[in-house]
Amino acid sequence: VTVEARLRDATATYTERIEPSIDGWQRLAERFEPRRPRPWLITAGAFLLVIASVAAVYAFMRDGSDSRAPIASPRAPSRIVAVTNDGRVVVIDPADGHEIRQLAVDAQPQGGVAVSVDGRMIYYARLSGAVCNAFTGDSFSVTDLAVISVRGGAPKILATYARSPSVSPDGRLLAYVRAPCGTAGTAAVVRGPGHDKGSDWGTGWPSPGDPLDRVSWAPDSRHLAFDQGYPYVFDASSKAGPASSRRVDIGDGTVWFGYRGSRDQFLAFRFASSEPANIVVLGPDGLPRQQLFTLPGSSSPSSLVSDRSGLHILFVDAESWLSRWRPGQTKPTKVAPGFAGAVWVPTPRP
Amino acid sequence: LTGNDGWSELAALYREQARSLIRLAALLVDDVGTAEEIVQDAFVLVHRRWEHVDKPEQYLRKSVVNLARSRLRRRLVALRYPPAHVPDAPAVDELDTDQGAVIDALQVLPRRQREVLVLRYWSELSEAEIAATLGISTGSVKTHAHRGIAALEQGLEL
Repeated sequence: VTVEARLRDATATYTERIEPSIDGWQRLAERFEPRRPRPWLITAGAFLLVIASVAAVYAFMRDGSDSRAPIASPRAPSRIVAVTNDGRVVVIDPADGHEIRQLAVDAQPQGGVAVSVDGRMIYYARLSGAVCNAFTGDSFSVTDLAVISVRGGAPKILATYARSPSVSPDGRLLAYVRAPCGTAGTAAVVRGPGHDKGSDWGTGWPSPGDPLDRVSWAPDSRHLAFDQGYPYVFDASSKAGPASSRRVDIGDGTVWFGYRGSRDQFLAFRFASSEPANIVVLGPDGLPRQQLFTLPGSSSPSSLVSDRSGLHILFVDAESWLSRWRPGQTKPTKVAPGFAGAVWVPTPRP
Repeated sequence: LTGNDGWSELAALYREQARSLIRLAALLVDDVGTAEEIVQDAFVLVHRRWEHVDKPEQYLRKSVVNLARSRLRRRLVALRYPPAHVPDAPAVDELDTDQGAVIDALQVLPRRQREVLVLRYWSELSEAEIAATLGISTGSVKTHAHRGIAALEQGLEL
């Protein structure tokens, strides 16, 4: 018999009498305490909860619909790009209307102007110098949509028979009005990233007979507002195109979208044509939330925009005065006369 | 452990493995009471790491061997002071003479040789499994097994 066999036999015999205690499992189970979350996990969770709570309170205060006082007062943009009544595109100082630089001299004064979100490119409606003949036999000047660097240089033509550019707040999309020969505007066109190709939502507007104008983006860079007798809004990201448009029932007035410090709120400025002319802020439901200021007389401004913070408003009044307004003012400040349209040059984010 | 399924899984593992593990521990520490404590400690360890353990049986066996080694080390310290350790049941004298001699000879082997022989001839593990359990190479397993058998043989001849 080998040692290995003797070892197997001895160990088997030795251990076969060994049995676990009857209460072995019970004693073992008593040692299993419920697992507790690790202390650092509790600390991290509490920290995140505090941060989330503070953020929620801050967001509520910032977007509170009944707030009359501005929550924040960011520095106003230091430059304005404007189109003069004689067709010049200029950079001016908002403090005194001092002209800093002339960018172009071929603008269609009523064609609108827009600035890219980085403040480097200027979009404007350019008189090409050509003449077109409408089906009525009348002749009209051809208006192109052009882009030019804020440093100057030659303009680049983006579209023919186009006007009223508007850059989405996220900078990805460019909207403008397509205005075929002799018309004031028949369709809104949105161009994608790079602005080199567009998708045309040009058919099926509710009021095809009225000119389409005042195209402007909502702060969410998704909804587009325009005026076609009545203010309309549609979802530019919707596959439905024009079918997604809806009329904003605000009564008698005109809507421009603008920032109010929130990317997802549909706040807008309304100009009521009844006297006195009030500039108010609308909520997402189209109801007025805040009255900003009152314009003398009953005529509407020809353009009205806000800066990125939504606190600094720029408009051209019925007498072609470029005017500005900021929170705390009882009435707007006149900057300079002789303008058809203007827009803030965005202040670069820190 | 999460939920009743994990709990019942652990209980089933205890039912399947407890007897075998206690016997293994008893061969390593020659004390059934200590062996049961070692196995309980091993189950506590596997419970803590339940979500990270792929092969619970292997983890338990390895834990038992390590815990037994730890207990023996503590016992060596305790042996310096009275009262000395007295093995409890099953008493070696309950075995026949030859079996008792084998168990006696086994218990005086060096720790590593004893572990290898118990795992090889009682647990019937392969050399690779023994190597994985003890954290040594298969070459070392062969060496310890060879030396252990030789020492056992020599001890039984005396």
